[in-house]
Amino acid sequence: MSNASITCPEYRARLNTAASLVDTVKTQIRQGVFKKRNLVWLELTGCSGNIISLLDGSNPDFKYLISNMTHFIYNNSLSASEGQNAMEQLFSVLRSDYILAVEGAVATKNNGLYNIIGRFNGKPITALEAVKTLGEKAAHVIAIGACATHGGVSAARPNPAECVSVQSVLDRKVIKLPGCPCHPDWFMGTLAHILLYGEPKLDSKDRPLLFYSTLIHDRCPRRSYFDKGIFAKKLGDKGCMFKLGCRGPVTRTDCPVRQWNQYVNWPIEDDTPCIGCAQFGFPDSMEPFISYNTTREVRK
Amino acid sequence: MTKKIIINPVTRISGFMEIQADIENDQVVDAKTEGLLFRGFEKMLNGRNPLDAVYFTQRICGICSTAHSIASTLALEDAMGVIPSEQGRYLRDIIHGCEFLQNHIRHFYQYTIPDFVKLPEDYPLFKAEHNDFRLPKEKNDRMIKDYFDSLDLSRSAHEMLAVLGGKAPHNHGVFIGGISTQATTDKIIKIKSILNSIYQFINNRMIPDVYTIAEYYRDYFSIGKGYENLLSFGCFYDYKNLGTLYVNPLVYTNGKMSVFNSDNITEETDYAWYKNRQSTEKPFEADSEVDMNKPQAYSWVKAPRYNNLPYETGPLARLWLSGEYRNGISTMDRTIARVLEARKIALIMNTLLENLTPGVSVQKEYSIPETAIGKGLIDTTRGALGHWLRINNQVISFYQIITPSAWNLSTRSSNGVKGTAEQALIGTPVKNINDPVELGRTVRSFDPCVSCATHVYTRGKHINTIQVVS
Amino acid sequence: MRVEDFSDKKLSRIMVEINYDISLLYVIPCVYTRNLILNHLRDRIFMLEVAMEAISHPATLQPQPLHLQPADNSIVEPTTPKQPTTQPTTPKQPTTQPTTQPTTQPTTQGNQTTFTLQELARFDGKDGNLAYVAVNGTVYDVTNNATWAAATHFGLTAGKDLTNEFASCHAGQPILSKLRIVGKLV
Repeated sequence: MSNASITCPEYRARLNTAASLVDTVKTQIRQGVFKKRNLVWLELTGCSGNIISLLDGSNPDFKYLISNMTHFIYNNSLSASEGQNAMEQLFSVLRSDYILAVEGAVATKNNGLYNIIGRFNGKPITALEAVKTLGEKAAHVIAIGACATHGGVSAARPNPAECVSVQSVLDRKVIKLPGCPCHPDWFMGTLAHILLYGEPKLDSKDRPLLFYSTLIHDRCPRRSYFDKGIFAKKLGDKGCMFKLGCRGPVTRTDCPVRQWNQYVNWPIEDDTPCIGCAQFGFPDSMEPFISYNTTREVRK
Repeated sequence: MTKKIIINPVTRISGFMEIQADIENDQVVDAKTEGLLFRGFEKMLNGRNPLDAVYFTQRICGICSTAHSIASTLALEDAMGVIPSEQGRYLRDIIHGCEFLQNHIRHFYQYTIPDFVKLPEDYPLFKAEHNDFRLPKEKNDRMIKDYFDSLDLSRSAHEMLAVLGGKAPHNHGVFIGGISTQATTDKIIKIKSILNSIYQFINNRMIPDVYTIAEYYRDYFSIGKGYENLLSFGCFYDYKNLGTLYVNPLVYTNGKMSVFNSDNITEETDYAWYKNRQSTEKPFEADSEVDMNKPQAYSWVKAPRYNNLPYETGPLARLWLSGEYRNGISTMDRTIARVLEARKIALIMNTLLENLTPGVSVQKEYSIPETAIGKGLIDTTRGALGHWLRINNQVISFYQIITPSAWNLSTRSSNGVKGTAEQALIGTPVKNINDPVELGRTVRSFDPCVSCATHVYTRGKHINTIQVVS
Repeated sequence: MRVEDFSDKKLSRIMVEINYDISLLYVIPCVYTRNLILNHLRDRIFMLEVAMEAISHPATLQPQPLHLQPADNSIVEPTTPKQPTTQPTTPKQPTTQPTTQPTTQPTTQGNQTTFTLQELARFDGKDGNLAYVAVNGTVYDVTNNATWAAATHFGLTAGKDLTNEFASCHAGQPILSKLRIVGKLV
């Protein structure tokens, strides 16, 4: 690092990524270059944690999202209207350009009747039907959170509702933002990129390289402990948590540098192992999350 | 002539719900609430590492994920014989308090306010079709400002949570023994300062706001009574040195208080699509085998009962049982109680913070027993939450969850007694049958979380015949 | 895995899981989820194979002393973390086989270490045991491999022959050359 600045470039980059994109958006709005686009946020078979995570975002925050970046048309948790009126609002976007954000998996058992998102003209609308109808015509589809990107917890063995990923029911490209939940910056940054420049560069699994390129392990502050073989024996220890089952080595996302909830903390810093929530395969392939009885002798 | 109203989706709740109501002479004479989301968490948990349940069950719900991590932790502590230290309890309960604050602020402003306050229509999200907005412009404008400003405060509540819990939603810190990490002075003062700004907001803006709404919507003090039976599993209670800071496990039945006993909990399945081995089961006997051909069944939410009666649980129940709020039981009382409780929780958190000792590590190396049985019962954001589990061969062999929304939004029981919210809708006057705003307002006062209430149930036959309001 | 592990109850549980996996495979459209289920299925079938082996040859389950001398061609990449040498190794079971950590210097005894499936099964990464996996007849040590935290990797557990799983996921990738070889599977 140069003597001119003691700021870590990673840290700087992390702080600036979403913010600099948004700055460009602001300028372009003023210059009349940039237009707000319609956004629909569908909640499907999941815990609706990603919309809560979105509300936890800052710079840009939710207010900025709905005031300056998009016409936010519909969301089950936030829309003022209910019933038929809400459904009419939702499906009215089909007549225009819109971006579809989806969280939650798609329940497919019994033709999707395990998850009904509303009634339109008296007819129950399944999550399956809603995502197919709205996904087909959307300019962009963004699958947000583990359940939408690959089934996640909704599809955990034995998958009683026969949940599948959003991509499995759509015959078009779906940008995937895994995470449980998805960090608000990952969504805001991806959206800002779409608004400004179009679709961001994606990796082979359709994740934006902007956020999902590097393994947590390769940017972990405890990496030197791993390399020296200094391992935590229990939660709360300050060593590397590999022996407790940390999935940092197989998870690609920027938690170590971005951190959570206004950048105050993240699981490793909280002295718990990463459970791989932002990697495909979560949760079944990432279990067991916490193990004490492993390659290290357990003192009773 | 009976007219039928169907509202689906009921927006501004957590999850998916439909209300069906029969109206005669402009009043609700019958009502059903249906949860419309199923994933099957109890089946999923079988065979998994018991310690993973703390993280796994969080994913039942995004807005109350901390609640499940705590109930799961309590059940595991019960099963494994782990007794957390008082410091561990304080730390964990502080995290719990953060979730309460986040939920109550968001529930009041983002979920409830749009029913009573006309928000600016240049936001498509706020387009509402009914006209029952009674606030004068000045007060309406104040509410709009508070709606937007509250977003920063509820976000801060999650920031506080993450300081001790790692991230929110779906925190990492809550675990058996207390929490994973230690309190340090900088964390403590960070939380204290954020808590202060949240407390100021609640005290100076949120509480006046709810009383303003109460002033202009007084009819809602007579709507949504329910059975007036209240239940709490206990909340911020029984600390060794601090005693009970909020409410003990108590029950209020027909005007009388009594101590809560968890053996008296049963679940009825007569009107739910399950095979009846016996129509009433205790939590540890629960069986999730589906029977979709059961004639009178109409829903997937089972009917939790205490001494065979339906109960209401939540902020109103807690404040009533602790003796701090006795104004009445209604839609408006529930909403006011939730806001008052937010202030109470902020004060409790301050007490806990002042009793923290920095640098105390509460974690150990734990070994999983070969077999065990345990339960974790705790009152949380929406009311009473219970996790029951069994461990066999060192893995989970049984897991049962009864959520507060299952209590509040339950189906009928065998003697035809309706669930609490269903009963609360009975007698509601509907002014405009084309815009029955009264129904959603009442149901929302229970703060429903359908992702919680229907986690175990398999969806079966859907009710096909719908008579839309003529 | 021990003889006691193959009780009737455990075996019938494994059969239930296998059957359930198969019924899931009929309906899962997503290729990725299918592969995960197939991994799980393979894992369970392996357990049955070991059970069958145990039932037909109970004698071979008696522990035999292992000569834990790494072969000459063991590769220690600079990036692979060193074996921690500080751990006491009091094995849990009274029927002991040495679970002493191999030293990091390869010996030149010339004796290639061989593992049968049963012997490999003991290196499951639990109770202080090391974590070994076999691919294409070679047994590798993944104890300190970063992607094998808690001796598990995407739903797989150590102490097994994972040739097929490896082929379905990592074919063509230069992964094996970075792992430490500890013997051959026979």
